[in-house]
Amino acid sequence: MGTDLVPALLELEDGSIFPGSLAGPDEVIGEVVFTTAMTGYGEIATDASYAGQIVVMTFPEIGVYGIDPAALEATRPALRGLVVRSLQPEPSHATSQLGIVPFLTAAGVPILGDVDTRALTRHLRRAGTMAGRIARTARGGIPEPSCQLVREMATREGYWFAREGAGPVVAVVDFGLKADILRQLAAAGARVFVAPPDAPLDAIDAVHPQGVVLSNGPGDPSLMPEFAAKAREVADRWPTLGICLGHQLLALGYGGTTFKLPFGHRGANHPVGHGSDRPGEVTSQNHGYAVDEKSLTRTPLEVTERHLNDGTVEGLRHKERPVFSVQYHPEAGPGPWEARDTFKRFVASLGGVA
Amino acid sequence: MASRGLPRKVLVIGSGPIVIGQAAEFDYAGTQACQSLREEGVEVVLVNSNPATIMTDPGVADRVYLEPLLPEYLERIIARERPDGLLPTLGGQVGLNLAMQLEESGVLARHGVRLLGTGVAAIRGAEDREAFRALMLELGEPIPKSRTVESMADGIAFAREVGYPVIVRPAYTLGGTGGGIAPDEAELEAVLARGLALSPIHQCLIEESIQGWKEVEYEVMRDRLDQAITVCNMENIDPVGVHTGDSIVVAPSLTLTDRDYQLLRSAALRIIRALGVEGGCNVQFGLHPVTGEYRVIEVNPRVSRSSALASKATGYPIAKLAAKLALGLTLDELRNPVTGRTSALFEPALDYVVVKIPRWPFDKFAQADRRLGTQMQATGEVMAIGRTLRAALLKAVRSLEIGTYHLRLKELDGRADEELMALAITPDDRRIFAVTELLRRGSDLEEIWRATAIDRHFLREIGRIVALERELAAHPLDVDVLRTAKRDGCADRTIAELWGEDEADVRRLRRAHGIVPTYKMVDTCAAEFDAETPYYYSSYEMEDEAPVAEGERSVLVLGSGPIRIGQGIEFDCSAVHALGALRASGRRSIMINSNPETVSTDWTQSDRLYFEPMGFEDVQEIAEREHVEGVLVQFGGQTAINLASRLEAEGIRILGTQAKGIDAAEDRSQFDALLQQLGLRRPLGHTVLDAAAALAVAEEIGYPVLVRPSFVLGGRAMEICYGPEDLAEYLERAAGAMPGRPILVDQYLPGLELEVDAVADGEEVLVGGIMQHIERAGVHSGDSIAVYPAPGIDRALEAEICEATRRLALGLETRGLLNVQFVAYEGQLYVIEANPRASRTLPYLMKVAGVPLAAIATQVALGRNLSQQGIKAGLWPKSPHVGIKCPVFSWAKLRRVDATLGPEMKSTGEVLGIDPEFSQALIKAFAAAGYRVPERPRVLLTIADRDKEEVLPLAADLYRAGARLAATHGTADALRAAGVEVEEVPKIGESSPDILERIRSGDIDLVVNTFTQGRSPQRDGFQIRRTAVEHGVPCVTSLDTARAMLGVMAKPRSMEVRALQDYFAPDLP
Repeated sequence: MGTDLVPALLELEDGSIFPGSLAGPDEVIGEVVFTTAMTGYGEIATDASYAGQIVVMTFPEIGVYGIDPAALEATRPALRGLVVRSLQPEPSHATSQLGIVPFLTAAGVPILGDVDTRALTRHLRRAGTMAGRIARTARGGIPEPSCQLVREMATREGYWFAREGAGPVVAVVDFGLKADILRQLAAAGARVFVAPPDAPLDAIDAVHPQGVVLSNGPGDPSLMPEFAAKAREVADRWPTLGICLGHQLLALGYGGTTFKLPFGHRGANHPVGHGSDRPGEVTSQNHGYAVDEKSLTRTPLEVTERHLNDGTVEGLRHKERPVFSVQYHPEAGPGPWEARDTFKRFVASLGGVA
Repeated sequence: MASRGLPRKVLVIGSGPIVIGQAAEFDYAGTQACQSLREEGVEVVLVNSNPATIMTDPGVADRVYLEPLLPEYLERIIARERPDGLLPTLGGQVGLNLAMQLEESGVLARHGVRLLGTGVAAIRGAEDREAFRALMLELGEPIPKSRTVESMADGIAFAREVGYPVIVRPAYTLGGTGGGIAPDEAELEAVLARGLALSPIHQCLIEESIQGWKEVEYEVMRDRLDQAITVCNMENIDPVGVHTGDSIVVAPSLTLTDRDYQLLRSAALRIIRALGVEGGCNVQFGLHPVTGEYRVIEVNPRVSRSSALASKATGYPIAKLAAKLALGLTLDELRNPVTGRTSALFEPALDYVVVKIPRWPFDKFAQADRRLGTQMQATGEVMAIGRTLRAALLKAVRSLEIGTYHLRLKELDGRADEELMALAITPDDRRIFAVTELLRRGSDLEEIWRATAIDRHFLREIGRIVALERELAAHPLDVDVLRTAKRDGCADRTIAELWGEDEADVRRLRRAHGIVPTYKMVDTCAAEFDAETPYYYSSYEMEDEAPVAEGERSVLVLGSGPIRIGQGIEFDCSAVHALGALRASGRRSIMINSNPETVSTDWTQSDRLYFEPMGFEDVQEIAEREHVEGVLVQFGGQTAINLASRLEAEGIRILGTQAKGIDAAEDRSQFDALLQQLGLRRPLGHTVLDAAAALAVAEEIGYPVLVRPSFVLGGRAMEICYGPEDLAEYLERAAGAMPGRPILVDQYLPGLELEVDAVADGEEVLVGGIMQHIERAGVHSGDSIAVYPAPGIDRALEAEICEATRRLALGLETRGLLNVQFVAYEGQLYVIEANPRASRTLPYLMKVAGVPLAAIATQVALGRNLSQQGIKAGLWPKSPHVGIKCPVFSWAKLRRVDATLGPEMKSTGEVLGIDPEFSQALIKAFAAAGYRVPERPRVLLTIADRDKEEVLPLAADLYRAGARLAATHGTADALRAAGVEVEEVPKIGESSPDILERIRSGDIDLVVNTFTQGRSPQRDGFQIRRTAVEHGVPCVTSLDTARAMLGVMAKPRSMEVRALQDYFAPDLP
């Protein structure tokens, strides 16, 4: 089948071992998380929020439709490793340009196949996410993965994603953004500028944005005070939409706190309730941390949406300013498209024409 | 949140008899819905004409009406019960159509009944072709170019416009009845004529062909707040061109990218929202494999076969939730019943692959046209769950019970490559086997892909299975290959064959190396949350998550597998009763079955459900790991019975009748010896092994003779032969079908056929009731109209039957159920056969006699004898009312199948007529079965010479009762000679309009045709019968049926309706 697999394993911080067969390099360390999304492994592999992580796909058959570069969230894989039950190296789809194995291994990302991913998921659900290593043999002593992930993933230079047209200018602060955020903003009629995470406010101001999007990205938000401060500054000045990490940074910036979820929300089937004004909907999610609702009492933020399973905060709104944020991924990629309206509403609120 | 307020009393309409396109899935849905409504405190009135259903058990609904599913009966029931709500979307197409009729005729408004859930507008928007088209155009959803036509000329004109091939879809028919693909104008004329005739509104849709596109379905739910989810999507391995009910299906889709998936998902949600469905809905799409464009093929605004499959594939109970949504509850306020704590507003995540394969009836109908197209042919289906596609596919294949345990059909081994390719391109039921065989022979995969449009991924996975076969063959007893093979779903038996070893040795080797199945839970959430669903499937993985309960007494109940002719929903119904009885006696009940349509595979029915093939290996693994007290085989039809002796040999205890007793009933010589010993008569006969011996035996006992292979179910390949030519011809055919198998040649006694279902405990016997068949012996019992209590027997014969049953049960050492069929002929009682298991008549008898035989038998099997249960031996008190079971056929759907009754079973389902009066019960039974004969019908008689004398008094009665008679020459002469006025109709091709044209023209109300020798489809009788059934004209082929039908023709209908509960508690209002 063109792919030589060698026996290898995933060793977890707590000593558990999950054998499998490996394509690509070994000796890879990351935080082991699982996602229950059944489609879109290409989008997942290139979603920068997974940077530093070894991702377990609970859906068993992975690789069937190859890789379509036009559908990816970034040109290069972001995750550290992929763990699957049944690796399908031969693509069968009209949009596929190459197989998942060359796509990931060329970027130094291993795929560990033939793993009892359900057993692994059950373990992570009970014990919580933890560090792990893909290797030929188990030997203990797994170091903590690095955490300077945002700067690794985000752009270093500002650039225009979509410059033409008469729509409002939206600046996206890139903490490790997904390309579908840019595509959706552009599709909603915005002119889209992307700024690096460390960009000074003046640099953002230079493109005269009518609104700013704080993007998703990897890592623990509580360890990024400088970005939380940046989020606050942005929101105090421009109409702002925060997504995922951007949402968490906003909360932190206004004085809230975040906490780590035991095993995160990662999948394409997460129900979010909007309260009484709008019906609930199914969303795409990928986050290991959440905003602590209790911490919001002394902030100008109020909760607009909650997860229907565990009640955690999924959406926030500034009580006085045109600032709001969502914990889930309205851009989908992968996942349901219902929340894409978020971009239309945001762009429309900026007074532009779609 | 439920601002509208709950209804007080809700009417639920079932789907009636099992026919092709409408099977047990609606019993599953209806049962769930009734329970769901009652959970909310709503009183439920249920109407269904099918007695072999769990939903019609008196415990499932507050009021159960086993009345014909016709508007006039429904109105009576509504007037009597005064429900304030009607749930129209759980009874399949039949229930939906009926609800629409009641709405349109103003019955609902008149009685203040509100349609719950999906409203009239939504139903019409999805069901009415023009309304649907208009809505799709308005939404901008692409649909195949099409035109609704009501005439041949319009159809042809449109086909010329869009080009051939075109698809013909008749409006308002089940499972696409009467539809088809027309590659050219000649074919279009034939298909369209049939379609127009079968459509109740004489309307067909002619459509651009999107053959070869990927076929994908979404199961969608929506509530009144406009919250909507997709429960599951499914991808057909067979691309567009084969009816989805005849397609091999995987869930979830495997070859769709996230963009493809979300594109179609979003469209499905837009459609359900635009329609305003409140409940479940199914949307079918075609997706172009290269351009990615799509077409909406069909929308069903109700629960369906696919939603049953999706429920079993995901664990998410669609019907249960749909019923709640219809009451006005909303998804966000409901919990996911599987996890118990997460929201019902979510979409199940699967961490396994599901494969469904249809089960086709062509093993029964040797002459049928096996080709698959737009008209569904399957009677049932199997589902298998595996961690990978390969595992699920191989498990599904061995669940089919078609004599193969692997993707290999021996009959294809000798076929030429071209023949196999032809089968792959123009598919019939053997398509996947033909494709596998081509790959096995090294044919080019790309070429198969180009020729069939089956996605290369599926072909490659089959190719990997073939590669695995080679690996196995090259490495006998290699443990690593063995491990891989088991992970990929290979049966021990397949491995044994490839290794040239014994299956038991493979198993020993496997177990010695710790290669044993691990069981995984179906939990709707891919292990993200803790779930306690007792719903498992096997895998060969690292972790087992089905802990075995210690210290509990567990009993395993074997299911009956896919629904097929001869083994239908009746068996599932009995198995569910057994599960209930086990619970009641403090046992932990464990169910194993492979049929996704059934109630038995609803995970709430047992303490633990294993969704597994019913193979020996699969059953043994479960029985052993669960340390079961024993296995109940008597409720799973022949499937389960066949496993008894092997299980027993492996030291697994059979509860109830032991293998020895089963063999004694099934093995001809043992059974004959036993009858002789017991002093019971049976028709003369012998078992022979070759043609010469058969002819000699027939000479000896005298013609006519009944011939059949031994060990059969549903009278497969059984025929009556009236002379040596006939017999010789049969033997040639039958011997080819099963070389080396013994053949039984019996005296044929055309007497009164009687049947009992009984329970024996080794000492005493309870006879549940005696049923009498309207048709004389020779018509298969499953195709006969049965009457309970038997009206035509005196006390002496009744006593004789009970005594014979008692003796037989004791002689066979029966512990549990026993079904016996008798013939009373010329003053003598003969035993035809005895089956030590649940029978086809059991649910019917239990219901009309009010005798819980299945539960009593379960208790007996557990060791509590009849007297301990407080049951008096002998005949259960006869009911004062009459229950008549009438068979229902799917003739119109099966091309080239002869619509005649004989010893081979052909019916797919049954209905009940129940009434205090015999004639009224019979009227109801015929009405429920779909026979509509006007008061002064035009009856066409074509009668075989041997029946001419017998038909005369019948014809004379008919004539006197006002029928207008027509007959072909010979029959007409005979009638005129007897003084009956009759119109003579030209034979086929004699002069126009000939007999076939007359039937087609619609001025014949009933055809009575008896069978003439020879089985060639070219015979006139065959064509007459086919023409009648294809044009919806009732066709009766037994004079006994005709006499019964015409006997009640002139009788006024009392139209009295009564709930089942009333029959057994007459004091209640």
